[in-house]
Amino acid sequence: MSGRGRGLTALGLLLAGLALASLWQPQDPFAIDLASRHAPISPSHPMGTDHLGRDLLSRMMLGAGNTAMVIVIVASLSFGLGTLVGVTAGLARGPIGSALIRTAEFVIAVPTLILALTITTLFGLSPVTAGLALGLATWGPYALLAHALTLRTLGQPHVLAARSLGVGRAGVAARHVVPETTDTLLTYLASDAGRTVVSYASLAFLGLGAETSQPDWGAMLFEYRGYVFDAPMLLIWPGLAITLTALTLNLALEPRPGHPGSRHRPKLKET
Amino acid sequence: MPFIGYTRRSLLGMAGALALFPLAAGAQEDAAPLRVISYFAASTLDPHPGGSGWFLQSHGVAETLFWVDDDLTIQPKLATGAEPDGDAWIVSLRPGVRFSDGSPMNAEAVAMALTSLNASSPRATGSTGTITATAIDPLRVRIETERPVPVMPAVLAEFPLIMFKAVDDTWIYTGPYTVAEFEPSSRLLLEPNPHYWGQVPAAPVELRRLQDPQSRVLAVQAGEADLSFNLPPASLDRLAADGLIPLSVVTTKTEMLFMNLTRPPLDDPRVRQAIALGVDREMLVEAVGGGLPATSLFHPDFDFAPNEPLPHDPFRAADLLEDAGWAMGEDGLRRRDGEPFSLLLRHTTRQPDAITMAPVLQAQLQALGLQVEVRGYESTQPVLDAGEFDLIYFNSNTVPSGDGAFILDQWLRADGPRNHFGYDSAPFEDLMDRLGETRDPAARNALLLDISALLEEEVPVTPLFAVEFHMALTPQLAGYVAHPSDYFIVRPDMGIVD
Repeated sequence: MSGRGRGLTALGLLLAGLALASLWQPQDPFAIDLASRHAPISPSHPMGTDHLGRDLLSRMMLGAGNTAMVIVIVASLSFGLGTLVGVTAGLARGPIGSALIRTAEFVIAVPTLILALTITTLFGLSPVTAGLALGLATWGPYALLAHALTLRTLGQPHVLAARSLGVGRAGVAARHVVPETTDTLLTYLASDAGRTVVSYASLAFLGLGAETSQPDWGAMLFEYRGYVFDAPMLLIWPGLAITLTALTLNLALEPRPGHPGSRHRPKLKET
Repeated sequence: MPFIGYTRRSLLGMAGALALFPLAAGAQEDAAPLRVISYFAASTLDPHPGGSGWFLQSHGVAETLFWVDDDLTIQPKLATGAEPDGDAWIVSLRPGVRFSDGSPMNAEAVAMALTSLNASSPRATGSTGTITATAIDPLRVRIETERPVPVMPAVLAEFPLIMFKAVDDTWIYTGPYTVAEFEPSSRLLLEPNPHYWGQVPAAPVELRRLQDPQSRVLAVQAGEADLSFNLPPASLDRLAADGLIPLSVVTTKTEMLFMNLTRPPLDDPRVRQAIALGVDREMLVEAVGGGLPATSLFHPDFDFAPNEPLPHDPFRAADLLEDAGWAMGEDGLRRRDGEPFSLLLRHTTRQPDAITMAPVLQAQLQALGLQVEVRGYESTQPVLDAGEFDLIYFNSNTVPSGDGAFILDQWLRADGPRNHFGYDSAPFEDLMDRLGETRDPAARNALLLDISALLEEEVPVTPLFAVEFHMALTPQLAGYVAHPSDYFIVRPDMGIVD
């Protein structure tokens, strides 16, 4: 399996694990039991309980599903929209292509979190709205990357040959540009997923328009921040989950040596 | 040769002591400030903006003519009494009161302050309409009001009506402290007012604002504060272990769950009654770590508050919902005509208690078969203005001036400036009209008890609990007495241990 293949497999496994965790929890994540407040780690509460006696593991698992949903929505939106705009700009060129690229640059210039906060404040914060907001705020780099890759592909001899034989723009895009740019874009997408985890946690932590009872990891950090000294595990668990998920995504999906997106270039043999 | 009765050494000692006396006196004047940390600080020294009176009174800078004392009784402060004179009132002023520049607070100054505040602040006209204040003699003011006022001392205890004097481009007050240094919304250095009519404070006070509760805990724990106000209850044991003195006081702030009567399903009083009965107030108090389950909108210690906590009866609540046509489904949700019973519950995220309460209230309402979507907002005012809620909770000082009429006028009168809930009840308006015409304290208490009973039946709002404030003090402030509100945090006797 190629490096990218291993990375995407790891991404798929991680997302599946996160999604499965949201489908089943050992206890009701919302069940309040004030007699069991701040219970320590035990077989019945493997991560202990919070200030309302709710099982932390169950809440963490439910939060994992929300994170997975956000990753999928953001990835689909930013990848889809960015690729569409970038490839179209590359093929169209001229004023249309220039306008599309200026738009992408404008999206990049607007701070992601500010744009996402504005959108979620207007429409409320849920995994779906957060995913849409972050996706709309982060498609710019994909568009620029897709645009550059498209121009490079269009300059390849076989593409020039195809065009000289009368293949239209749509045909070139479908047969050459998209297949030959997807690999690099997917690698960028995979490595960007870690940032999405942190961005979503930030949005949930800020909590503008959030459903506060939903156990998102970031929202848990917000909800439990008052216990940072008296019950620090309440913050350590979601903090650890955010960190490990982002780290796993980055490490598993880091471009392998030799890949176009890699910083590690293979050494040339001296002759 | 020794002087008669004194040795040279003793005389030298006395001389030395005399020489040091001015230094000692100076040390008293230059006493290190007591450091107070609060969750708010005045944003302006101008008495006219809405919350200014509250802030300046709380900082010990400004005072009202009457006040609500530590035992929740209306007492004279800058006044000595108020007597009705037909529909008007004659207020007698305390002799010897001076502003911090030494000029006397006479009837003319009081009339000017009342007129100015009444003209500029909608809140200061809430209970009275337009005020016409005229000086009769240096120590008596005649006050006429647009609306009849049955209890003038309660009106004059409202925090917007602080006594002030404009001097050049600033304002001076009569309180035990004067403002020596001022950083808006951040820090005030308060010096003792040498012209104060009561006990002049022993030391200056530096008041700083820290908005984050954990920062307030850390500050007092690190020795950066002598009093840290409004702390999370979970921190008190830790602070006590560090040698600090934890102090808690149940306040006149009441946490209230208001209902939107303008749309289904809460336009049905049976549904509102069911929600009120479904709320377990004891559990809420336990969850937030302090407070008293509500008996009404008012702190239970007021004479006009019922004694018994509001009932928690989920079975009766279920019956009421069934009567209203909301049948329980197999999935644990109630439906009527196929439509699920769905509610929007809104709250502020500014207060930690509000965040803690959200899942508890949600769980209690879901136990009744109600689907509840909870959402938190930095400010609930836009939500109130837009009417985009079914239930909304927040806390407020329901008896800011010692009389129960204030909150009712503001929040529940059909034309009340804060009635965002569509409450318009003929029996309530009738009782309020009668309350507005009744001066006898016992009769007023009886009317207010009737109003509480009516509100329990009509349920435009269901009170949840009286809010408890927690604070921590250094041993230097061991004698500090906390007022049951946040209206008097900096006090003239601070630092004086009996």
